[in-house]
Amino acid sequence: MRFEDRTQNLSARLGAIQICALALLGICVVRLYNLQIVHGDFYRERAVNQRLHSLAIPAPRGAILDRFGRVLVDSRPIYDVILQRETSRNPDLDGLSAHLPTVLEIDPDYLLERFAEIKTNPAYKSILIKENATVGDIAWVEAHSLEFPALQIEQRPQRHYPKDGLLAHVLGYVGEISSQQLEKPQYKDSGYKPGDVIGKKGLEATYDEYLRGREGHRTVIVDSRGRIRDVIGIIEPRPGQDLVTTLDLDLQQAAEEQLRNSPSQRGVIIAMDPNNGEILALASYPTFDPNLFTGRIATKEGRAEYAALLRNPDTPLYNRAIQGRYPPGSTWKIPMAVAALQQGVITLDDSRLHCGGGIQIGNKFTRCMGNHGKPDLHTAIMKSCDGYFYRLGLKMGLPGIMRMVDEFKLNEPTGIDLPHELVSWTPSPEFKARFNPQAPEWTDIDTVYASFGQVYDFVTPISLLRAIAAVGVGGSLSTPHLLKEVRARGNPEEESYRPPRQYAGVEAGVVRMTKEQDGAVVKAMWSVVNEAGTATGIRKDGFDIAGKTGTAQVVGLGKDVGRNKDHSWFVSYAPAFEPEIAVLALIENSGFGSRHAAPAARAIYDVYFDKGRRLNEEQQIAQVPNR
Amino acid sequence: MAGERAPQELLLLAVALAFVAVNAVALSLALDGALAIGHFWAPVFWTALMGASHWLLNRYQADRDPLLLPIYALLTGWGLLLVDRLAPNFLARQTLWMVLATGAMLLVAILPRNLRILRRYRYTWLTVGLLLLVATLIFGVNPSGAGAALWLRAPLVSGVYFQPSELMKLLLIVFLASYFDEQVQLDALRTRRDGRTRVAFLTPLLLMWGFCIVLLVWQRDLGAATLFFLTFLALLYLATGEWRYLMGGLFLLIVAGIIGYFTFGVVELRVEAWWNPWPEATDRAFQIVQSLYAIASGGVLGQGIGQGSPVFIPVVHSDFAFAAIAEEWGLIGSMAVLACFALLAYRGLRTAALCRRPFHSYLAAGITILLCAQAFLIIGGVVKILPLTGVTLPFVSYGGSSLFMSGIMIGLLLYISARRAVEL
Repeated sequence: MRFEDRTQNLSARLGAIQICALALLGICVVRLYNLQIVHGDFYRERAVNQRLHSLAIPAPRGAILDRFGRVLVDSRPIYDVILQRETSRNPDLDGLSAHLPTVLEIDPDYLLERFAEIKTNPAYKSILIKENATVGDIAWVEAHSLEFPALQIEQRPQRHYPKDGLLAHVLGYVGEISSQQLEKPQYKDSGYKPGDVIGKKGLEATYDEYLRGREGHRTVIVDSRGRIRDVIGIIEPRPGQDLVTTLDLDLQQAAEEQLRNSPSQRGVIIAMDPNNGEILALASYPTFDPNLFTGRIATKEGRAEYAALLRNPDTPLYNRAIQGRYPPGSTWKIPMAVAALQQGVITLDDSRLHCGGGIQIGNKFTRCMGNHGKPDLHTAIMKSCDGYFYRLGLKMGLPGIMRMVDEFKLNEPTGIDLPHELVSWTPSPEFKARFNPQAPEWTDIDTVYASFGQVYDFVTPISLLRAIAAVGVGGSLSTPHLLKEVRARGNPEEESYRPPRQYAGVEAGVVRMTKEQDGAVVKAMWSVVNEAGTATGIRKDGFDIAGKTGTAQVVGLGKDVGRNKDHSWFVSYAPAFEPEIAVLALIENSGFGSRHAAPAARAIYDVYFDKGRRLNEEQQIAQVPNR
Repeated sequence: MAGERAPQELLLLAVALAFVAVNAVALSLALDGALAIGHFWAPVFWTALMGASHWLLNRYQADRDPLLLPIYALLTGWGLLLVDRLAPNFLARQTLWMVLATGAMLLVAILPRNLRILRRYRYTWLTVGLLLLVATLIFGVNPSGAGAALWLRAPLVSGVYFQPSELMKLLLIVFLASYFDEQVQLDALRTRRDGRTRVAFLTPLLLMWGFCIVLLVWQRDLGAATLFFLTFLALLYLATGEWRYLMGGLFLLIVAGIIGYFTFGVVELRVEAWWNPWPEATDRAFQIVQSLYAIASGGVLGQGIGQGSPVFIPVVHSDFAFAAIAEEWGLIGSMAVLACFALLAYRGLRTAALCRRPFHSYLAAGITILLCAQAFLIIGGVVKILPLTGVTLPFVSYGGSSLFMSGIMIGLLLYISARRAVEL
């Protein structure tokens, strides 16, 4: 009996559940009626609520050329694999996640992260699957376009820098603008926005405003459901302007080759036109590959490579030519000589001072490399007599040396058109106090050190070259620069036309001296190479080089090996009496200036000479095709 | 009797066929502008299978409920049309699963004695289910990339995945049905005469609750956890007739939901997107807002198949299939789907009521409740009367495991519906 009862109960309960089920489905019916009929218009209005969207079209960045129009950097198209959902239907994610990790070599976890973006992004935004696709990747994607129609290839211009780090420090590199940069008014007020690619270093940074062009926009109407309803306008991107630099690719390559083959593989070579400051070559070694920052930096290996560059004790990222401060050694004697004449400490008729094989100050004897008797200025420079210059410095005193520094603008940035130039450290009571707080008073021994380019003199190669090159051209200091011209872009009749722009540097001033005084120092520098001086080994027939060697002791003065070895300098110009080109060579920790630096400079002169000594001539300037 | 029921079923199947055929033509014209073979081979397979099912069932189970097969046919046929419309890459796979599901349905409906096997080895089934759950916890993957790892990769065949929680649904119903059957027979689950509850009732209740919490915590499978617990509550009520268990269980469900809200990002996200999606309409609540737009744009008659924009809803082909129906077939279409599930509930529970054996009753009721509760959970989620739980719309959504298990469940219902007549 009980069994029967329960069965009846069961039917009643099933009935109750049935009523529940119908009630719940009834709620759905009411809700749907509300959604689709009663409030349908509300949602439909919201759904077609159209918004304007601006989709950026990147502008091709301008190229950077050498003075003869040879391309140093340009932008080449690279290809990204993207998932495009605007025109194709739901992508086959199962199939993609089965194939892509192997065929495109994508990390499966990275792929899953990208796929997760699908759920929260409207359809008109495509999803990046792989940057910088290889030819094989592209072929695979195209071969499978029927199977995976959503997988597409998108082209994008990317900076392409020369191989082997050629010109890396000069050209710099581009990268995404940082949040710190965006906060600065100089960027914020010029229309930079997050995600923009901007010149980070080198010429890319200095002339970013010309190189970057202006990005274009595709203005579309998108409704709330992510459908592109209409394209209402396209503003074509305006390509960046090309930059013609003052560089001569041949000289640059020669300079880098010299540094690469030098004993320490560390150093600087700069070639400049002393008449106007045009830089013909500027090499700093070791170098790095700027392509790291445009492509590989996004990968794990790339970040490791960057970390290794930052840790490298040879500091490859840093431009030694404008950021390195080195004791100038005997090259310092050239401005000293000019200043001594100018200040009347010695005269052309009476310039003899004792060498004495060195000098005794208090209980300390500072040696000269030899014993030169009582040389005149000419011989003192030719033989690089330290004893002569100790006494000359003492006669000038610290104020005289400081006046010389002012006169040659060694304590100012040269104003070269590269970012992050540093200023030399030059002798002053403050420097002494900071350098040696135990004995802050300036004494005679300090004057002796300061007068031969040690201890209190730390100059940037670029400022030293400018100072010495000025001697060759009658004392006029130039502003070193790399820009020759920003090329015009477009048609003058059109609004988007960008006019050309020449380099407009400021006059840097003139070192005051008489023609005779100048002539005497030039003659002495000529004799260093062409008479009986310290660099006769690099004498070149028919092309008289005037220069000065330097062998700068590295502070610390330990054993003369490895990193404690002397820096080897040679600063010069040629032809000696009507200079067209000035060359500075610095080879770190390699000993005598005559041994390594002077031959390196000579190699640059050889290339220049063999090219027919032409810098501006009618040589056909190649045009970069308009893009 | 057979003579009376078969023509009824055939007529209803013909209606389903007409619907699928007309829509296949419309889809082909809308997408390709011409009749393209690509849109017809799946419906042709489907027609052949449904015809064969009708013939076989006539032969072996003449006394079955004549509405079950047409409901199954209409919803799976509609599902194939939707997959073709929304995610054509998956059409071949879904058709294959439909073939397998229908085959399984027929096997289950025709083979004799299968209920006895189910009942006898109930603890084996429970163990298998729990082992699968543990295996998913350890080896689970998600073939579509992102999201909860609820799938197991099939051995040997690459690219085939199975979702053990789908199998778990059936195993759970079978176990509960036989367990309650046993308990009722032992008279252990009844209230005392004085009206006080025995502690024995609470044990399975709390165990089940704990099991679902495990699902939720380790797998983030909100849908399966909710569904299991609801089905369990309904069966418990059915077996004991105690409202208090039902209320207590719903209370536990809400407690779990509140704890989940404060503990798990998934639950919090779903609840917030449900309560007020508009502040994050372009971000975290993108899916549900897009779903509402799609449903509303359907109106009364819909945009027409192939003419709306349901593909702008992310993963529309599985979780949001109902939104696509509402957009392209309008209120009429969405009402038709609801009517199908209402009919399924009616016929399924009627089958349960007519059974003489409690095990059969519980089994039929359990299956019916599960399928309808699942439909309600996802439809309610898509129209935003419930938070989204991420279950499929039975028979319709893309998803092989779900379709396959739904087929087996319909097979069981067919079998039970035919048995009762014999046993009467």
